[in-house]
Amino acid sequence: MFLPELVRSNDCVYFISPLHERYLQGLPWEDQRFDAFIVVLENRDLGETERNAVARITRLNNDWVETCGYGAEQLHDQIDEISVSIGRQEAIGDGNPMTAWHEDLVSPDDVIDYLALGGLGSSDFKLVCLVAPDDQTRPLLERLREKLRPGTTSRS
Amino acid sequence: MKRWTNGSVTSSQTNLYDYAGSRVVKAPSSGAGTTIRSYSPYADVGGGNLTKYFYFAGRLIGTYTIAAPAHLLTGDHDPELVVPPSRIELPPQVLLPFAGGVLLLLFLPLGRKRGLGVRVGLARAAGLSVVLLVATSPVVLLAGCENDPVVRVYHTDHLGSAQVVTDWSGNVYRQVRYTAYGEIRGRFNSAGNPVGFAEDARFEFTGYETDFAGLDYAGARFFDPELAQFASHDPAGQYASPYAYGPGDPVNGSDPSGEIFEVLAAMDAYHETGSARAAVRVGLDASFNTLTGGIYGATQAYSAGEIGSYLAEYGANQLTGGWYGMVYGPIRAFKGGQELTGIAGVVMLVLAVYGVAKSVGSGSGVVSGKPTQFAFNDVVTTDPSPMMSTILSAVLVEGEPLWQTAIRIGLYDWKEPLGGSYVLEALSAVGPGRLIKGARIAVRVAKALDPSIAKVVKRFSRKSLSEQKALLQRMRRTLEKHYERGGGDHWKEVPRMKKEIQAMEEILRSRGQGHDQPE
Repeated sequence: MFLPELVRSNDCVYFISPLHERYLQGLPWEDQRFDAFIVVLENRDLGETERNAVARITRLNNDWVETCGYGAEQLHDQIDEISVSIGRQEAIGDGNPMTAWHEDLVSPDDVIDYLALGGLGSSDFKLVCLVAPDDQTRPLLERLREKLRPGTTSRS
Repeated sequence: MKRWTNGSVTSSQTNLYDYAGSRVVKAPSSGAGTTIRSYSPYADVGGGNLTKYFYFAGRLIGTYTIAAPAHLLTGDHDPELVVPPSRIELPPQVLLPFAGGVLLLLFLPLGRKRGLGVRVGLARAAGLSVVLLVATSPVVLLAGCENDPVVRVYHTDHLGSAQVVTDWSGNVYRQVRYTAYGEIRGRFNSAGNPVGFAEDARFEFTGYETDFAGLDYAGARFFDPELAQFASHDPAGQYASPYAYGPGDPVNGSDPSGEIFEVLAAMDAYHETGSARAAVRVGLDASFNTLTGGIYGATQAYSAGEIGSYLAEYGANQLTGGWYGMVYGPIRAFKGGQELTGIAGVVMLVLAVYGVAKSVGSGSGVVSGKPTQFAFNDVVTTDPSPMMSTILSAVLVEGEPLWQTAIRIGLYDWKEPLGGSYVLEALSAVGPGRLIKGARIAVRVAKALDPSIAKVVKRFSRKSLSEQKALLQRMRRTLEKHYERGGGDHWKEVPRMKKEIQAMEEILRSRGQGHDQPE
């Protein structure tokens, strides 16, 4: 488990956090709209705490929720179902939130590249919830921080 | 870390660092109440307060402290609580509704009937809204600020060393003098009497945080001004001695991070503030020469008074400060009064009188020889208005045209205590011509684009070509997957994705990539 941290890129603010509900109770940007990424780089079923965090994310004011990595498609389905069950959207696919799943993003490098792009959403704020083996977390965070550093993804 | 001391050091503190070497916790021994947790360069929580930091060109120029919101201090949170780094990214929530309100007021007399209001054409109304926006800042824009913030504005020299620390009104809190290598020669209050170290003005030599036992926290390392060298090795290995502070030239460069000595880097930024200040003054004059009409004249008087008052209050020189409001305001008021009619005329006249009175009041203080708040005998600066240059330096980004600065600051910084004044200065610098042009462009874009798409386009446009292609490919793939799942157009997500793809393709076409196809 790592501590959540804020990273500013050229034009976004990323809040990188473990997939844990306690870190999602007060987002740094408060109630403003944001895009969420749930990244699962560990090939296992999510625990109850993590599933609660997913439900929590679905209830927040996000525009896009994108799932990446192992079980991305199933996780995406859960998000759609939760959205319907809480009345956030009338039927699956109503676009509130917009959803996408990327089951091909299972390597840290691919995930980092994609997160640095900012994903499909255009909000200024990005929530990244990460599930990864402990030994991968630190180097992944270091590389992600480096990748997001202002100036590294500017317009060519 | 160990250090020889002269035996007078009685305090200690515990520091914790993250794996990148940045301090995340600072806990002085004097009690839990003074614990400072540093989570980013932009904000701290400690002693029950939340402090935000403002930088320009890597230099700290101000701090803003309020009582920390309860949710940051309650036991509901783990020690690793998180602080918003800044509100710079906040969207406009006052400025634009305010502009809309002005326009609504002006268009009340529909059909050019004389009634509650005044006869006014579209162009004049647009111009007036600009004038009002200028004239009413920062009062309206400050309305959203938290209560009772403690603002410390750092007036630095070219090295980023705090020479004078003031409150937001420009009242001197303390002055600091250093030896070449940053040893404190003395700290003085506004009366010139020696004072001690203060926690809320702890950023001193080159912006380093003065820390316990006489060491300065420089980020990557601690600096010892007494020994004129760092207390630990240079991570970048810049010089023969790993402890060296630069190449032996501490007055022409600084090492703000403790790992890169920058020669004259701050000097460029310092000069930049001078040219920006000139630009603002030119802008002030230019912005009052293009619009005509009765309301215009009166609001000009009000505006002139406000600006004159503002400049005088914050220590600008006499000509652009007090005289500006005193002389320019009445002239404009007279011209405006010739064409004023109805209730609006009365309202505008009141505004004009208020503006002139205010300018005379504050202007006369300057003209009559009242010492300005920045008449220090020991500050090495050619700038007569440190406050003004500090404000301006905070809004500038190297290479950015001022009109872009205006838009950026106007949209994003209104909620900060410094932000309202940024808007005033930036808008003044822009002048109505560019603002109106900008507004026209904005209207055209808004009409042409679905609002949700507009933001996508804006963000997408900033990407490099390869990034744009990667994103477009990913979006296309996502759309395909939605089709494969049987969503089709009856899924509301799909039409939006198609629109966004269309917009992305349009941008790529405009970059000569019109034949880009899914890979």
